[in-house]
Amino acid sequence: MSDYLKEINKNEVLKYLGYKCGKVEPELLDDIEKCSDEVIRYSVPKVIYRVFDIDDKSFAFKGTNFIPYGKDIREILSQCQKAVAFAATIGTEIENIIRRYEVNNLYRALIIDSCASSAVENVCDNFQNELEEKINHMGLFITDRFSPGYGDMPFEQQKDMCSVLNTSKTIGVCLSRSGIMIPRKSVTAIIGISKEPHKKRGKGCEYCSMFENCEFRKDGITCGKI
Amino acid sequence: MGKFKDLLEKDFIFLDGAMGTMLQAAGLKLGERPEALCVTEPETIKNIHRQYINAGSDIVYTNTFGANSHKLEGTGYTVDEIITAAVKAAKSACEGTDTLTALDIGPIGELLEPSGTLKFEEAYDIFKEMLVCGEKAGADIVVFETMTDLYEVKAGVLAAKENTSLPIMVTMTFEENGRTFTGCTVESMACVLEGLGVDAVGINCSLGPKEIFPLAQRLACSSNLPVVIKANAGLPDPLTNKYDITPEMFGNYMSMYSKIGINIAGGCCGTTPEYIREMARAMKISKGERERVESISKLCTPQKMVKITGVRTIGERINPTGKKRFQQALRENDMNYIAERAIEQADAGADILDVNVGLPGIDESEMMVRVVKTIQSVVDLPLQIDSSDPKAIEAGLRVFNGKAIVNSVNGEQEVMDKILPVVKKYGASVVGLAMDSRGIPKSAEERVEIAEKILKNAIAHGIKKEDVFIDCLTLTVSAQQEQAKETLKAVRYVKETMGLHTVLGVSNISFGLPAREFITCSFLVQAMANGLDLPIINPNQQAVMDAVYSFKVLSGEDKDSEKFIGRFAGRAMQSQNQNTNVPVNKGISGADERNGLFDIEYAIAKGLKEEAARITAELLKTKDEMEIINSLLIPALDKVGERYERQEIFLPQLINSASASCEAFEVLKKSILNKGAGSVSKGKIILATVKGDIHDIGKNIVKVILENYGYQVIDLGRDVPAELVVETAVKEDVRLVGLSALMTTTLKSMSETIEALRKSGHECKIIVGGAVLTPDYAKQIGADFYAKDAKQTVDFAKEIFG
Repeated sequence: MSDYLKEINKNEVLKYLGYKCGKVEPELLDDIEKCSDEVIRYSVPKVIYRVFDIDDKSFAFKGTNFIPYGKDIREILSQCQKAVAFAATIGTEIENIIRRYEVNNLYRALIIDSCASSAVENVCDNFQNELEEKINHMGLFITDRFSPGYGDMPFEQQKDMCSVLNTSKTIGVCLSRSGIMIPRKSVTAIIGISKEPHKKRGKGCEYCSMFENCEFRKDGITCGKI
Repeated sequence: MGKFKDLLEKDFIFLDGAMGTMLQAAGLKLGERPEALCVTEPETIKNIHRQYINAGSDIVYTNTFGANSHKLEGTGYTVDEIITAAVKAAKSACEGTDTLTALDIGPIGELLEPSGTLKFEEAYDIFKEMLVCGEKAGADIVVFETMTDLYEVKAGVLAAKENTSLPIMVTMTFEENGRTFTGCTVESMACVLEGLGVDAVGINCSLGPKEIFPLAQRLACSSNLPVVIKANAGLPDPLTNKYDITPEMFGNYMSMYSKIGINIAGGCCGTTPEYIREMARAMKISKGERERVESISKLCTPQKMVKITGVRTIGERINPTGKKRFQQALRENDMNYIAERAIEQADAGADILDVNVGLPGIDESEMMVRVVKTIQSVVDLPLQIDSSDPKAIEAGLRVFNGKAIVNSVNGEQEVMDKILPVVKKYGASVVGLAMDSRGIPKSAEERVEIAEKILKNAIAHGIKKEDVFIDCLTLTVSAQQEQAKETLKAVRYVKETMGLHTVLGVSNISFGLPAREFITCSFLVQAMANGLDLPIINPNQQAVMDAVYSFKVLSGEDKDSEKFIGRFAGRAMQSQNQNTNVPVNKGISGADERNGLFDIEYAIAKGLKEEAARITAELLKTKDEMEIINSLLIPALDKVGERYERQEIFLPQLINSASASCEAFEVLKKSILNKGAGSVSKGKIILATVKGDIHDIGKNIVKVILENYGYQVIDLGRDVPAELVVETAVKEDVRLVGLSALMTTTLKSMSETIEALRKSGHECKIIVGGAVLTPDYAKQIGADFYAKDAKQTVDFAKEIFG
C-alpha cells in the first residue's frame, strides 16, 4: 500500500503555496524537501476501490444505491460498461502534525499542508496508473478520474461514495456534518472502464468547481490538475 | 449483569458471525442502511440470529451497528424504533435457549475532535440514547465494536456506566501495524478500558484471524481482562468483495487463540454460521490458560504508553502560579499560548505534563476541560490533572483521552473520600501528599505513616497499589535546612519498603537561593538515587534534563548510554553551528549593532525568530514598548507586506517574517505585564472559521499578521457556531469580526453567522475571506468587506481602528 506514495511533486507544492512564476529561494526548496520527507514518513496511504457494472440508462452502480448526477460525469461514463469507485487518503497522523505546527511553526504547517495535498493527489495518480495497467491488460480502457464537486457533479455525492465504499471502516475516512472528509487529505473519485479507448477529456478549467475564483486562472495559468 | 457473569464462568463464550455479510447475501445493496430491516423484515433478522444460535453462539449481536441518530438521519426511522425492533428480533431468536442478546454499537460515523468536529459530549449523548433504548428493550449486555477512536469508546463506556447497568464489551479494529486508523495501540486500549471498568476487551474486523493473532497476543499480555476476538474471514478481494479463507481454515486459526487462553470469540465480515460452527469445534479441542500479567504502573494516551519502569519526568510549566503571562493567557482564553507551552515541554523531553489552571476569578472546571482538550490536540503525552477541587479534577479526567494521574490527595479523610472515588471511576493513578490537616510532618516516619494511610484508603476504593504514587514533599532548603534529608529518607522508605512510586516537586528546594539550578539539580540527583521516579520539573531547563539523562546512564536504564550520547552529540553540533552562523548572518545584512531599526527590520525580513526576540529585549533598554511597536515593528512588517503585494515574496516568507515579529511581540507583552501596565492592544478582533468548516490555516495566518500589527485577536477556532461569535462580540464589545470559510458547503454557515450578528443589534464590521469567496458573494451575504489575504485584512483593520 505504501507504494502508493513515493514522492511529492515540488512544483505542485509551490503552486499551492501561491508561487506563480519567478525565482524560488533555495532555502524554501530545501524546506519543501524536508517537509516532503516528513509527509512521506508519516503518511499512511490507503486506497479502497470497488468495480461496478453500470446501468446504461440510469448510470446507477449495480448492487448499490449510488447514481452519479451531472452531465459531465455521465458524459464520461456514457461509453462505459463498468466503473471503479475509489477513495484514497494519507491518514490522520499528518493532520496531527499539521495541527501541532500550526501552534508553533505556521510556516512549516503551511508547507506541510501543501505537501500533504500534493501527496494525496500522488496516491490517486499511482493508483490510477496501476489500475490502468491492469485494465489495459484485460483489453479494456479507463477514463480520466472524476470527483464529486468537479464540473456539475454535486459535491454532496461524496457522501454517497463514502457510504458505498464504507470508507469509515475500510480506510478510516469519515464525513463531517458539513460533508468534509476527515482526514482532510482524502479524495473520492470515479473512473470509467470501457471497451474502446476513451478520448481523454480536454483538460480545461471550465470543468473545475473553482472556475470562478481560481487564483491561478486569474493570472492566466492553470493548476494543471484539470 | 448476573447472566453475563455466569456466562464468564464457562470455558468458552462463542459469539456470532457477520450480520452484514448475511444481509448482503440476502440482497442488501451497498450504501443502504441494514438497520432498517429490523423494522421492515424482522423475520429475516431473527432468522439470521437463529442460524448463529444453532451454530453455537452464546451471545448474538443485535442488528444495530449504525443505529445512532447521526447515521439514521434522513432514513425516517428513530433510534428507539430501530433498537426496540432489533432487540426484539434478537430476543425472540434466543427464546428457549441460554443465548444472550448484546446491543451492538458501532462507531458514530463522524470523527471526534480534534481531528473531526464532533464533540466528546455530543458523542456521549448519541451513545446514551442508544444505550437507554437498548436496556429498556431488554438487551443483556452492550458491545462496542469496530471502534477506531479510543476517545469515542470512552464516551460510549461512560454513557453505558452512567445510564445503564449493562455489562460492557469493547472491541476495536486495528491495522496490521498494531494501530487503529486514529493511531491507538492495543496496549493503550487495554490500559484505558481496564481503568474505566469494562468487562471484556478485544479486537474485531479489518484483518483475518492469522493477521490479528500477534495483536491478540500483545493484548493478552497487557491486561487481565477477558479478551474477545472477532476476525474477518481473511482478507477481501476488491474485485469480487469475497473473503479468502474457508470455515475450516478459520477454525484452525482460531484454535491458536484458545491455546493461549483466549476464550471469547466470534466472526466478523465474511463469516457465516458455518464459520462459527467450525470455530467452536476447533477451539474446544485446544483449551489453554491465559498467562498472568504482571502489575506495572502505566499511564498513556492512545498513541503513547508511559511505563514507570525508571525515572519519568513530569513537566510543570502549565501552571499559572507566579507566572503573569500564563495568567493573562488563561484570562484571555489564549489557548494557543498554552498549546505552545505543552509542545515546548514535549520537545524538551517531558514524559508527562502537569496541568494546573487554578486562578481566582476563573471557572476552574470549565477551564480544565478547555485546556485538557487543547493540550491533547497537539501533544500525545499523558497528563497529570493538578487541582484540589474534585469538580475540576473530574472535569479534566472526563475529557482526557488516556490514563492520567490525579495530583493530588493528602492524608485528610475528607479529601480522600471526595477524590479517590473520582480517581477510581476514571481509572486514573493518584498522587498522595504525605501531609494532612496538621500540615507537613517534620519527620520521615510521620510522612510514611500518612503514605500508608493513603494507600490503605486507595485500595479500599478499588484503586490498585501500582496506581498510587506518594509525594514526600520538598521543603525550601533555605528556610528549613534539616528537612531536605528527611524528604530523601521518606522517599527511600516509600520506594523500597512500601514498594510505591514517588513524586516530588523538585524546584521548590532552591527557592530564595542564588544559582538555584545547582541546588535543584543536586537535590534531584540525590532524590533519584533514593528512589524518586516521577520528578516534577521544568524540562526547559537544560541542566535539569541533563541530570535526568545522566542518571539514566548510571542506573542502567539507558542501555549503552544511547540516549545520553544522542542528547549530547546533537548539542555539540548545534553549538558549532551557532558559532559559525552568527557572523555569516551579520555579514549578509551589514547590520549595524547600534542601529536598532536596521537590525529588527532585517530580523523580521529574514524571519529570524531568536534574533528578533534578542534585538527587542535590547531595544527595551532605551525605548518603550509602544515606540518599538509603532516606529520599528510595524514599519518593518509594512515593508514585508509591500513586497508580498508586489509578488517579490510569497506566503511562506510572509509567515516567516510574521513569526519573527511575533517573538518580538512576546518580549514586549512580558515587559508590559511585568511593569503592571495596560496592554499593547490597538483593538480587539474576533476571528473564527465558521460552523462546519475545519480548515483553519488561512485563519491562523490572518491571526498572526493581525497580532503583529498590535491587535488583540480573540481566536474562536474552527467549526464555530454563530451563537458563540455573537456572544463573544457582545460580551467583549468587539468592533471587528473576521470570518473564514473554505468550502462551498460552509458558505451557508458564514451567511448565517453574519445574519445572527446583524440581528443581535451589536454594532460591528464584518470581514470575510476564504478560497471559495468572491467580493460579490461577500457583499451578497452582507459582509462589510472581502479580504483576499491577510494583508488586506490588516488594511481594513487599520481603517476601522485607525
